[in-house]
Amino acid sequence: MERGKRPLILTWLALLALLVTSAGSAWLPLGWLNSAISLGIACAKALLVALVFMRLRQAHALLRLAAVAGLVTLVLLFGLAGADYATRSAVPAPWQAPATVAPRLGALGALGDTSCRHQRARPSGGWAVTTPGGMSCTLASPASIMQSCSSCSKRSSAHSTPS
Amino acid sequence: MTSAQRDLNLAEEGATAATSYLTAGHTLRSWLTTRDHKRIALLYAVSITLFFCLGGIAAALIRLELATPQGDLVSADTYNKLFTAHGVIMVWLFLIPSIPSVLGNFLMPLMIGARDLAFPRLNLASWYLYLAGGAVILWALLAGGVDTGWTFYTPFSTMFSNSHVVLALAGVLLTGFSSILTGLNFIVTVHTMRAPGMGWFRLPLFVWANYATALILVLATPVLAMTLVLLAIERLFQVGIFDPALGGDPLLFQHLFWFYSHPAVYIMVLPAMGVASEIIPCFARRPVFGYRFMAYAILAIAVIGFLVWGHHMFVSGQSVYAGMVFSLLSFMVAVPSAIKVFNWTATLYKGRITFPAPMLYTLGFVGLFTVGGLTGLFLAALALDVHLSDTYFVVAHFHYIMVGGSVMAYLGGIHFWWPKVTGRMYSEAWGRLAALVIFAGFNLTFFPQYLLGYAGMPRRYHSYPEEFQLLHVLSSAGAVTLAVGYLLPLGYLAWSLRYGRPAPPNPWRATGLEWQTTSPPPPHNFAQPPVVVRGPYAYTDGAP
Amino acid sequence: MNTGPATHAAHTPPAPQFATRAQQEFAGSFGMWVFIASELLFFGPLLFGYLYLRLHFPQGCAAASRHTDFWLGTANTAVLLTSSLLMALAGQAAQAGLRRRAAGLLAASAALGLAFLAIKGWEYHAEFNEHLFPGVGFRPEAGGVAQQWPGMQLFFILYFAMTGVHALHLSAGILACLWLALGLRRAAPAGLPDSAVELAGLYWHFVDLVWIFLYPLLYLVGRAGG
Repeated sequence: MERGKRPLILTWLALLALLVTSAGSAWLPLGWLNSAISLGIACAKALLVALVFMRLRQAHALLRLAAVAGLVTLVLLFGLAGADYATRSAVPAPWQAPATVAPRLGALGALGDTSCRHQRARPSGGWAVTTPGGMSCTLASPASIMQSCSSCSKRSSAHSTPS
Repeated sequence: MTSAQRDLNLAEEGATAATSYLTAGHTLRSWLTTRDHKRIALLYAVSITLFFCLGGIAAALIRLELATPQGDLVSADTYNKLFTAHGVIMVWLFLIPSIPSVLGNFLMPLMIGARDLAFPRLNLASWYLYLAGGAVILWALLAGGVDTGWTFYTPFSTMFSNSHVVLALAGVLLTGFSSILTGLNFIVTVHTMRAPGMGWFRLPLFVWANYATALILVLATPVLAMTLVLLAIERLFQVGIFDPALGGDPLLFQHLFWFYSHPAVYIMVLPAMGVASEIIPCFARRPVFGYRFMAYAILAIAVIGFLVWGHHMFVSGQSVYAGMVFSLLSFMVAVPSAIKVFNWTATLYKGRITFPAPMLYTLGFVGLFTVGGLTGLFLAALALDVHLSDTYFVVAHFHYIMVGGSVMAYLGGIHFWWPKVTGRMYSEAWGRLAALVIFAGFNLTFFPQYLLGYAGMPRRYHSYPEEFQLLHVLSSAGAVTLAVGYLLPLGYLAWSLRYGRPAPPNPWRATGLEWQTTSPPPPHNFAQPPVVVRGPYAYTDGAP
Repeated sequence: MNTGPATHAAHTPPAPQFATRAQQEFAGSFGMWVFIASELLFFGPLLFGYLYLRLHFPQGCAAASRHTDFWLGTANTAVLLTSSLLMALAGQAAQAGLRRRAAGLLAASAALGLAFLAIKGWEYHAEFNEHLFPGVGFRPEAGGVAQQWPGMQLFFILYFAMTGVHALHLSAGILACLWLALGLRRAAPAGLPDSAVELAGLYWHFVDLVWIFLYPLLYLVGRAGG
């Protein structure tokens, strides 16, 4: 029994050592290397868990294939979607209001939610915020929405909108 | 014991009605707690038919509205809810489970010589999950509907829509889990439970097709599940990973959504191709041409199908370079599909062809799938897509594949295996009539939509300029014909359950292990596991 | 299958759809791996969203990550790694037919899992109190300039989503361990088969694997002040 347990205990100790290393190295100012090291260590830990604890090392080829298939599909998602992001630059611009009316509020409420519904910019450049109670206010920027809405006194939970 | 003697023993074993899977237990409870894959297949069949009728009613209302240029039948909001309901129901509650969960569940164990799937209780759980999902979606519809389109694009669905989005998302999530379990079951079954002698290249192509479909189900559906969870989080907490005003990106949603939803269309079409590969050799009396290429083509479609999702996003702001890559890959995915069409055609060549109803449906499938597939190439071309995107051309393209392709193949399969499943023969005259009515109605409905789309008619609009009316009226007339065509099988198939001629074990003289047992099969399919000594499609009476 | 079936298992008949016990156990392991592959894809969108976030809001991410509790996160990682060891030992014990020892180890793993959830719950509690939960109430008090708030809030959406989904999966694993620990008390075939422990172990290790990646992504960004 002891012989069988030894690889498991050793692996566990190795995992803890790797954990201490990644936790420690995060505090050293190494720039991009920090991420590289911590992810690299995570991969090493993952390999140890998969090969030793999950016994992939001795497993039938089919089980390893199942594991790899999941990884490959994930890589496809990251790769091709990443190709879009890598070849496109985001140019943030203030939103123009679509030519529709404000969303109807106070409709049938199944799961009510009482937060503010913010609307897109007016031509003057401000942000129109409409509360569920139908009150409105104008704010300067998206960031201030989060600040202002939480302390806004105009919010009312009298109406709810369907989720 | 020779194989002929063994076949005879099997036939005797299940010969009396008392020992078939249909009669082993008469109570409702025996059906609702069954672990028999054949009964679960029937449970699915009834449920998806009900949802097909619901989705069809939505379609009928849509076509009724579109018969006149003004938006006069329903308001714009209601119209949005109608096409959303039609899409959600037809995609998740009908098409995705149709062939895999009905025909696949019933036939996969029989075709590989097994007594059941690997995990029968998971199979039943998957049906209950499906029902739960359907019930929640129904609840969303009854509570007032969803108006976002089945694609739930952000930020409309997360920030602006006043309809029951989260309910619908929950329903779709449940049906998604149902399909993951079905896929898992199929994969494990095909790998571990084939009968002795049933090597991979002796499997019927229907098994290959459902296996590849199962791979897609297991790998793609979880991505949809998490994407819907993120949508719900956005909507419930008013936060913004998909909302540009809050730093998010709507294209992030579209990438994640289409990463599943493009392979989903292969979930809908690959099993249909599997059905075609069973029916055509049988009624041409020739082995399928190029069996190995057909099997590899199935796998190629599944794999390449994971790489093309960006073609749904050519005009939504994706980078041009990514667009070019996706366009190229989309052209590539047409190649294995074309190989399959060529091989079906070559199978027919010099065959002794007869035209019972399943063959009519399948030939319709091959032709209509080809048209739909070719128009997919139009859409895969970047420059053309700029003109055709979000028009009725796209609507016609996917209906040619999903209705002209998948639904026709599903009906063909239902007719082909009807004697095996029910032990009854249906009326061939009515079967052929329905197939022809459906074919005619389908083309009348959807061909004008190509012309409409090319002329600029946008999709998801309930009113349109007067000059499009003629084509819309033709399309709506076709929809009426199609509806009649779909009602016919409901009638004569139900009639055959009571009054149809009892079916012999192998009425079509088809090859395949499912035909070596009685119609309907005994509860555990085979008395002893069959031993396979030859490949599939050993038809010898056509030209070699 | 790694080694031969345990002596107990050899005597229990396979389920009716299987020809042999070995076939059933292999199908079970393979099925669990296919499920794990699907679960990996389930976490996929969260990881890709995280990648999007890191690339578009690097400072916001770093600022937000500094608001997570480094010590509790690191302790939790150690807790989960240890629970994985115990599960691996439980699997070994079950394979040798030592059902009682396996049940004890399963219960211990479940206990560590509960400890993880307790620590996580404590972290959540602290984060709620610091107004770090995304939504209209989001208001990080210390550190982080106002321009970074969109990025910080997006980080916390992913933080709560990823750790929340992980915690749900862990809870399911804990229930499975407890149920198995009870089921192993009776000898097979009346109680649960020994092979079930291996399946539960595979699932548990997967939940651990997810956390192994979540830890550096959520807790170790920008710790050096970058």
